[in-house]
Amino acid sequence: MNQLPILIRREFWEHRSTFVLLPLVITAFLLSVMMLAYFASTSDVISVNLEMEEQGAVSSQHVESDDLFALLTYRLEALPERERASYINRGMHGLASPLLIAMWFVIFIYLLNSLYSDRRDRSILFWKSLPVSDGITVCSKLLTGLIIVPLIYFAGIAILQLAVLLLMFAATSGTDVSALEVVWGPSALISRWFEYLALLIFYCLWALPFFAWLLVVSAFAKSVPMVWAVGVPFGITVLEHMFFNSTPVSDWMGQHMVPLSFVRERQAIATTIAEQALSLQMISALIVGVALVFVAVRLRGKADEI
Amino acid sequence: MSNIVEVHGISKRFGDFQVLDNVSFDIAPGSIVGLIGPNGAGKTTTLKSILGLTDFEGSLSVMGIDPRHGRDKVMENVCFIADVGVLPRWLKVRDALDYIEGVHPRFNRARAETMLTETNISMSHKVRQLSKGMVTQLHLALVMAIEVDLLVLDEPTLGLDILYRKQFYERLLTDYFDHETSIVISTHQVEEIESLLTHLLFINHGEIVLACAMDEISEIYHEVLVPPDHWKDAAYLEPIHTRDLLGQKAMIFENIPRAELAPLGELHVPSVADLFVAKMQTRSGDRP
Repeated sequence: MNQLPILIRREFWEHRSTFVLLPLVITAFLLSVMMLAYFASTSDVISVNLEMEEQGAVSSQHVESDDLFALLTYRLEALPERERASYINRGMHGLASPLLIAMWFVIFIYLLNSLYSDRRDRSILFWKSLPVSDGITVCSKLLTGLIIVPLIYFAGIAILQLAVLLLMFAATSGTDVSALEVVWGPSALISRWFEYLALLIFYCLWALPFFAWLLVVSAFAKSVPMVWAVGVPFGITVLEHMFFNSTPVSDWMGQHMVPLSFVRERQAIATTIAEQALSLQMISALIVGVALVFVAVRLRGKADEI
Repeated sequence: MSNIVEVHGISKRFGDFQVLDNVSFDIAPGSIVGLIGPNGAGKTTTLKSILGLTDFEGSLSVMGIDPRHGRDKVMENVCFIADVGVLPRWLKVRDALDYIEGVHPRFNRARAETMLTETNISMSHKVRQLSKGMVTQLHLALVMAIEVDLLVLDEPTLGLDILYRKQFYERLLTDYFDHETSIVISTHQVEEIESLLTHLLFINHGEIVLACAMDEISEIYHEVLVPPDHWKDAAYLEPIHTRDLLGQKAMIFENIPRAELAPLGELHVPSVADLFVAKMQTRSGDRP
């Protein structure tokens, strides 16, 4: 009997507010801000001077519009192609960041409490009275936190990114500016989404030691798991800096904890993933990560109410 | 069929505190065992050892499986209700049914639903909305819908009022017990479960101080109401417990033939509660 689907559903019963409601609220809020900008701006006429650089010569153009999205599209059109792509990329990324940041904290808190709160409220005695192994229990939490929850947040991001492009289409329809040409092409929406998925899988493996460490803490801490989770790596870092000239351990921990600090530019994603996939960094992360998952499973096996 | 549970010399200590000290007993199929002892005697630890919820030294098997290494296998054949309040408060009744149906091969959902219709619990209730008594009803309905070989109840009615307590044990006996499933109940309220039991296990300070079948009690233990003129003779036979009763002394004797006791006074089978008090006092000098 495959228990995973029902175990994952269980996680959603417990964490509906942060897994479903929170991304829904953030997405709905940003959507309504966009809609407001789209509809509210029709009453005022905004005029903008655009400076266009074409073949080295700067020409100035005066644009008047009653719509923010139309203006945005005009301004983008005026930019050289490379710069435009970079702006659009930053815009798309900026649109994604509220959800990405919220997601990171949700997953962090979720994993940190996943094997702790049921010991605290004694419901571990109920969960453990059913024929579900400790291994599959821990796996269900890891899978929920690292794959299923990000997919939900990604859906919100996709909706927002699509919405902003659609609003630009709507705002410029009937004019001689083609939003399809100006923004849809450079935004590379579909391939961008696939990149997110690739990045997600890459990050899950890259940061596995970090997430597995949260599960370990969650399984053994008798109180305040947050202090353990942050305190131990922090303590190691301080000690290493005090007593050693080089700090390989703290550097390694830092690299596998901060969410992909090395991926800044969109263009770099694919190459970075390809470069790092078989690197020593990645292989060490996998070994440490899997070892910590096993430790978490063992600790869960011994775990009792607290 | 061989024993459902075989416990051989298990021990456990927390620091300086010996929780279990060389505990051994068996549970035969179809028996209802009362594990009885004062608070802190080691009841919960014993039950948790059977369920694979805690570590220990010694050997223990539940249907041939060591629960330390196969808790999930053991739980296919064993159900467990700890005292009230271990159902997570955020869980919806309907979801609880879904969950158990999804993970337990021997769960009969229709049966659980039927039992719930006889209560005031609705499918859309969350555990936090239910009273203590209702949570116990829910847990019992869930557990009784699972066909297992052993049911473990750890102080299942603790903190419930008398109506729910009575109902709980009635249900257990009429709807559940079929002489094939074994039940272990731990409690410190002896009177309530006395009539259900087929076997008694007394535990004190982590040691088993009495293990026998209910129908052996009348052969091994006798309570004699001794009038004052026989007190001296009676004391000579070393009663394990003596208490004053309306100008007479009620004395409990262990392994003394009826024929020797009959001349001393009126003979009774001691109640489990009195036997419990007697046994607790003989082993532990620290009680009045």
